[in-house]
Amino acid sequence: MFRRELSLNNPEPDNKTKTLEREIKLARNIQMKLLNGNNPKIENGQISGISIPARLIGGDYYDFYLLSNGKLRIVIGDVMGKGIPAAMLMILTRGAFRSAAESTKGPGETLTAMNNAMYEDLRTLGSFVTVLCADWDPCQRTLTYASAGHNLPLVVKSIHEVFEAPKIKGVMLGGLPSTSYEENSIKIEEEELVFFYTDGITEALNQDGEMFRIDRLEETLKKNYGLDVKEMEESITNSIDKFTENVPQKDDITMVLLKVNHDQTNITSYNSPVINP
Amino acid sequence: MKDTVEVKKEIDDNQCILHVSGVLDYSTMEPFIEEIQSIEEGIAKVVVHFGGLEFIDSTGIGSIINLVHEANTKKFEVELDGINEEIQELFETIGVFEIMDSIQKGGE
Repeated sequence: MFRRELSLNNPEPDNKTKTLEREIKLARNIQMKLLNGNNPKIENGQISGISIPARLIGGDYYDFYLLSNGKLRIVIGDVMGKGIPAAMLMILTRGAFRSAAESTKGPGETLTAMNNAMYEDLRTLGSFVTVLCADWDPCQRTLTYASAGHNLPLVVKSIHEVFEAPKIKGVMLGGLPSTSYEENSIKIEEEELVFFYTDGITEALNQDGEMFRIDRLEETLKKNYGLDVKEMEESITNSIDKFTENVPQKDDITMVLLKVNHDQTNITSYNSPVINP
Repeated sequence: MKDTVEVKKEIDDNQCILHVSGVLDYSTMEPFIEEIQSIEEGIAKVVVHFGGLEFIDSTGIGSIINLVHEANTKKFEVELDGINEEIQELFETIGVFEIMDSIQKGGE
């Protein structure tokens, strides 16, 4: 009896909690390493991405895949929900993207292949993922994009002008089986910046319960036009921090920034072979 | 913006109307899920009235998609009503209406 009381009151629950904490920390390490890895190097251009989970681990995702034709495939996504369940599906999304990117011609096809691979699992789990996929062609300076229910990227043209990429149709991954995704292409000029993001930025709350919203995001992007991608990234996070004034982050925050510098952009690989044109 | 949701159920003959107001997100959605799960047999149509909805996140949207799938299985109709402009735009971006049309027309 005495022994039983000891075991009920004492260390077993603590050990379980510690084990759980350790495992969550390990899961966080895995996710942060997979997410915030090396950015591909671009000559005469820059690309960067960052993901800040609201909890220890999160459901946002971004990735880059260098294609053998010299284009760079960019993906950013947001899994329904938060925390550990969302993180598990984020890993599933990453696998689907990596596998689809290799065998598909464009971002629309990539999203179709990802949806085909993930649809049954997502329906079984009652979940979905929004994803924006884009191919950056450094020779033509064109961005071809497709959306599976995700926010469209913003293009910062000058200190006075920022616009959202033209609308295209496409439902979230896990929404409908065997669906296809429209594509659209836009030209990106020298010194312009493309900003891909998740709604954790625009929905960040301050102490009065107000959201950061797209207006503040656009103002921050215009005000900081001309900065390099890392400085811009920092300006955005600082601007959100200043706005939220230490209100705990409710949703994961993820952004990918692509900037075209002067002269022709050439991609140099970090993990895949580059075939020169 | 308060972090709470209020769900009021009204039954009118074989129609169930759910009046949803406040914030429908990851932390508040339980009452909405409970009302959906308690929809009785014999209901032919569920109208979700979002007139007082201030904010909805991906988990809230997921619960609506799941309601549409459940309606398809249990053979009742779903209608979304009173959506403000901002949420309408969000639903259009994510593809909520397209999914509803496809499922309710037997596309799945």
